[in-house]
Amino acid sequence: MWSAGVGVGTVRWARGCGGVYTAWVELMLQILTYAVFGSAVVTGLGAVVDFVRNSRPDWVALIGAAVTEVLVVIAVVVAMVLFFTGQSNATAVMAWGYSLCAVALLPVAFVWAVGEPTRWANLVLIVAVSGVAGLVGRIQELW
Amino acid sequence: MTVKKIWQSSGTQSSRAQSNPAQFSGAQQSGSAGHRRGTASGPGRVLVAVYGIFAVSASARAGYQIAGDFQSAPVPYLMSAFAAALYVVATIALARTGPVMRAVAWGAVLVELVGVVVVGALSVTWPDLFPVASVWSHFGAGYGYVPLVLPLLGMLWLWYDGKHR
Repeated sequence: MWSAGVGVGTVRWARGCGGVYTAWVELMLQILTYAVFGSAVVTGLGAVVDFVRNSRPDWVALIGAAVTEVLVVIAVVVAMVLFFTGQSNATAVMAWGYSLCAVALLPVAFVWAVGEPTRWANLVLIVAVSGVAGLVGRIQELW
Repeated sequence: MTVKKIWQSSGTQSSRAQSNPAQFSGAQQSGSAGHRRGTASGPGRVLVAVYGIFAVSASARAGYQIAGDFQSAPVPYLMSAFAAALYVVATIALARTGPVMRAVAWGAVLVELVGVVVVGALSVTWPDLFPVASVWSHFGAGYGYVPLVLPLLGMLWLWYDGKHR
């Protein structure tokens, strides 16, 4: 509820602020997209190391995935602010579809990876962070 | 000694279970012998993850296309929906265990391979048939050829897992 309130407040604020702030929000989305890419690459490289060492994903992987997820959530919130303020080319179905998939992918994949007690869990994580990076990249591109 | 080595050195599953039941059950519980727990473990875990992502993205895309402007290109849109359904079936079948699910998974990956090869070839030789891009157009080039590689990996994994069951 709290986050919904903040979201609505942000939308109203952005509407009131006009074009200058839209440019800011767009820049934010761009920066966040690169942040997600960076975090995904670091997490993926960590998973490669764990895979080569024949170990399961460790706490570094958990932190990497968590940081990536937080960045994804922020990126999606920013994208939705752009969408709700009418500063996006995306249709409603597209906006919601991409946003929900981007937010849900990593947690679901992480649970799926944790269920695998071998080195292969690392590859599941790599697939997940690649997928989420691709999704956020698409969001930035489509918006 | 790793579980894999124990497994390799002790012959068949039944003889090992009889000769060293404690070790066998321990291996089962720790679950470190990947392929022993069905198609959704070990490398199969990764395969299911990739199939799952394709199932969701292909379904979303097909649903969006069909709900949007089905009339403009019914053939590729219906084929997208068919491909999406196959990915969903393959994901579920690979994620579960048992002979029925194994057979379903085999069926899904085989049809998928035929689909991507036939549609890929048709989209190259007869582009008018597919005016809009689909998952299988140009052998899945739009998706980094993953749609072409995925059924091959699926078959390889089903064969390997079946052999070592």
